[in-house]
Order: sequence, then structure tokens, then C-alpha cells
Amino acid sequence: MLVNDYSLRDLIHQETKEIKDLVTAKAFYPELVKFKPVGEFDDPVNFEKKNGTPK
Amino acid sequence: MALQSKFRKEFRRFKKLDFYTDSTDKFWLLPFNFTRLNSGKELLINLLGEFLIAPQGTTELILTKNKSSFKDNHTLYCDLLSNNFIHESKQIKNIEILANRYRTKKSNTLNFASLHIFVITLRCEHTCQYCQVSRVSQNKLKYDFENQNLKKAIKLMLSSPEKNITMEFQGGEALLAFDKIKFAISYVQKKNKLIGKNISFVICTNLAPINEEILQFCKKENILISSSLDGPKEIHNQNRKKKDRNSYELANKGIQLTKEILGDDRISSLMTTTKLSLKHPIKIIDEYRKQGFNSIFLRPISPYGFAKFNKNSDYLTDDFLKFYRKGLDYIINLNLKGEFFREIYTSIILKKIFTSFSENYVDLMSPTGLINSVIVYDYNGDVFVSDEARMLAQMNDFKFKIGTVDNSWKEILENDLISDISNSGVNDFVAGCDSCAYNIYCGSDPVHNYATQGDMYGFRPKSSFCKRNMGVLDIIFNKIDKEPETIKIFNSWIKNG
Repeated sequence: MLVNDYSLRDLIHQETKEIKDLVTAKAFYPELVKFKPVGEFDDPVNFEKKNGTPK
Repeated sequence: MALQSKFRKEFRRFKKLDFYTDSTDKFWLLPFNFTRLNSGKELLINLLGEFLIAPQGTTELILTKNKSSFKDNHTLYCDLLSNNFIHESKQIKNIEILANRYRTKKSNTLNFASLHIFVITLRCEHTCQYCQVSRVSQNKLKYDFENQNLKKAIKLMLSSPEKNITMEFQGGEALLAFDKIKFAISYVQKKNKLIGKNISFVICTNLAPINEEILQFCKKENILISSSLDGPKEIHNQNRKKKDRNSYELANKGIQLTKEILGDDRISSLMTTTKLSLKHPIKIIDEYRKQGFNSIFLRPISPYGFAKFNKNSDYLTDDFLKFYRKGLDYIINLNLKGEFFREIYTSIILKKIFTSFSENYVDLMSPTGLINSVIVYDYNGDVFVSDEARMLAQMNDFKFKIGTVDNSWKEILENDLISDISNSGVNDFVAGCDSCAYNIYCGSDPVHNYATQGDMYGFRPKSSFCKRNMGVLDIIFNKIDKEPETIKIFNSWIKNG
């Protein structure tokens, strides 16, 4: 074996780092993922207003 | 005119081959990692979770980035190309496909918590030596969830965004506060009429207090029972201490009564592995078979609560892996003889290996399943990112408390801790994980890292979490490499899981 496993892993990392970043960025592009914004959560106060106080 | 243009050659969907191939002799790498199997072969796993078991030296050949290196093994070259380890164009052409598949693999982490755990009481009539939740004795009523707090917690749960929700009651021993459970379910159902979520109920219990009245209520409300069974009588009673030393008898009776009233598929059991259990994987599996279960979860003890200080809970990961390997071999042999029986941890990992999707199992999620998968409401109204975080708080470390039931979601989610968890809970980019072949199948657990190593990122070479998951994956992949019959069994576990 010419190079050890740590060196091989390092070489792979150097060669592919930009593609990995690109794939990840594209995968989680907000318009595609449609993350639920914090504002979408209805807090208990609004919940009460909307649905009435339980008896 | 516009219609005609659709049929022109340049608008056809498929491009010519030279669009995808820039060079006749060069190729380029796509992100992947590798490890070595016992057979000497190399196991290559890419960013999407696709794997290839290749001859020794393949990784070095790939790094030549020259097609002539594969002139003696064109099939291997084609396998690398078709499984997305390499590509033939300087400007990568299928980036959208890779991104879509990566998103699909991670789709389970893009949701909000669907599991809402309510620690309905800390009281328990057992004094299990490894108890992770640091129980109190059964007469201390002040350790029950107060009704006002319960209502607030339920309102938080119902106002969270997921349509499908599981409401799980835990303890202590949850059934000691059965009235609270009845109150909570009745309140949820009343409020849910206005919202229309799909809510499943689960009660976690040691089965000691269960009786026909409770089970009739469970039947009426379609409640699942999650019970504890550590193995045959001698192991169960040794692990699960009780005044009359009759924990096993009560669990046994409870399982049978539950099956009778609710049906076989409405009860599951979980075991906890102690030093004593490590010596008896086969006896434990046989006990599960005797009770009529067709699966078992061989899970190690968590380093929280009373477990951290108990000698019987302090065992080495290597010992656990021996236990797991022996148990898995035995289970596979049962399947080879025609009996369907599966190991659940293996099944969760197999789904990641052989399908495009992942299970919602918190320990094996990246980004972490904390908050994305689970939220915990403690008996006193505190809100935690996971059950383990709550156990840590029982040891007076409130690091992972993110609020109380008096807070709104906005207040809870704006806690600085959430962004710290987000940063440390993605194993794709954490040192030590980013170069691990098993990265895509593994998860990230900042709470475990913090509890065992003092910071949320953790240090992989000394991490028991890392060692265990790598050990389990080594065992699974060496079987995939050497045991073709086992692959058929693994597939049946995925299909019937």
C-alpha cells in the first residue's frame, strides 16, 4: 500500500469538499425544503383566543 | 409555432453522451468515505448512503482519477460510476439528482417533534438499580404533573405544527398517576376536536399496576402499551428490584392480560442491558419469544440518572458489542430455521443502508433528532430537548432545559441552546465524523456527548456512542459481505418492520 488510510481519506476530502458543500446547500435550499417558520407555531395564547378557554 | 418548437431536437429530454463526458481518460470524484472489512475488501459509502464492497486497492485506483487504472476491471469502473462514487465530467451534470436524493435521505430531520413525552409522575414502586429517570417513592404526590401545567403542556403540543403526533406518558411508573393520564387524554380529545390532528397515545409502564379497568380504558381510547421486560425471571428480578421480588411475575401477567384485552399488536417490550444481561443474550431473546414477541431491541444502558453511579450498569462498549453480536447471530439462525424474529436496532440501520429513507430514531439522526423528533414535558412543567436531557436535569444539570410550559414556542425556540445544538448536531461536518465511512447511517447526539465528555461536539476517538455504532455497523457489513443468506433475512426485516 502506497499511502495509509488517513492520507487516502484526506485526499478524498480535498477532492470532494466543494461538491459536498454544493450538494448539501442545494438539498436544503429553503424554497425546496419549505422549513416551518417559528411564526407558524401557534403559541398557547393565540390557541386560547382561537379555540376558547377549556372548561 | 410554440407547439412545434417543443418537438425540435434541442428540446428533447435526453442529451447526447458527450454532454456528460468531457474526457476519454479522466474522471472526477464524488463525496464518499471508505473502511476495510474483515475479508480485506474495501467498503465504500457515498454521501447518499449507497455502498459498494470493492476489492482491496480500489480507493487508491479511484484517486488516480484515470480511467486506464480500471482497464483490467471495467465492471468495477461502471459500478463506481453508476453508484455515484465518480463522474465523468469536470462540471458535474447530475448535481440536482444528488441534492434531491440527499434531501430524501435526510427528510425525517426536516420536521418538528412528532413525539411528545409527558413525564406524568416521577413516582415508582420499583427501585431498579439502573433507573435512568431517578424515581421517587410512590407516596410522594408532589412529583405528579399538576393539572394546570398539564393543560398548558397539552396546548403547546397541540399548537406544534406536525399533523401526526404521538403523546407518550412516562414515569417513574406512569400508571401510578392513571387519573392524570385519564384527565390528559380527555382534555386532548376535547381540544383536538377543534384542530383535527391525528394523535396516538402510548403508556410506558413496568406493568406492575396494570389491571382490567386500566386496560378497558386503553382499549376504548386505542392506547398502545410500551412495557419493560429484561429477560427471564432471574435476570428481570435482579435488574428490576421490587419489595416482594415479584417484578417478573407481574410483568408476565401484565403482558398476557394486555394481549388478551387489547390484542397482540398493542403491546411492545423494551429491555435494558446490565452487566448481568451481557452474559445471557440467548436466554433474554428466548424469553421474548416465549412471551409471543417477534422482535427485540438489544439496547445498551444510557449513562444518565442512577445508572451513572451503579457498578452493574458500568460496562465496556466492547462487552456490549460481544453481547449484540451473539444475540444477532442467534436471531439470524432462528430466521434461517424459518422463524420470523428481528432485532430492532439492526432493522433501523438496515433501512438506512438498503433504502432511500431513514427512520425517526433520535439516536441515529443527523441533523440531530432533538426537537426535530422529540420534545419532553417534565412533571414540574419544564421543557427539555429529549428524554436524556431530562435525565441529566435529575442530576441537577439543566443544560438542555429549553423553557417551561408557560413559554410560547417562539420563546422556546429562540433559546440560544437551540442554535448550539444545530451546530453540533450535524455529523456531516463534525470532526471525526466527516471522514467516517458510516457517517450517513449514523447520528449525532449532543446530549450524549455533553453527558459523557463535557461538550456537545464530543471527541470521537473516546466516544462510546461512536464506538458502539461503528462496532454495530462493522458487524452488519461483514455479514453483508460474507453471508448472502443473511441479506435475504435483512431484507425481510426491512419489508416487515
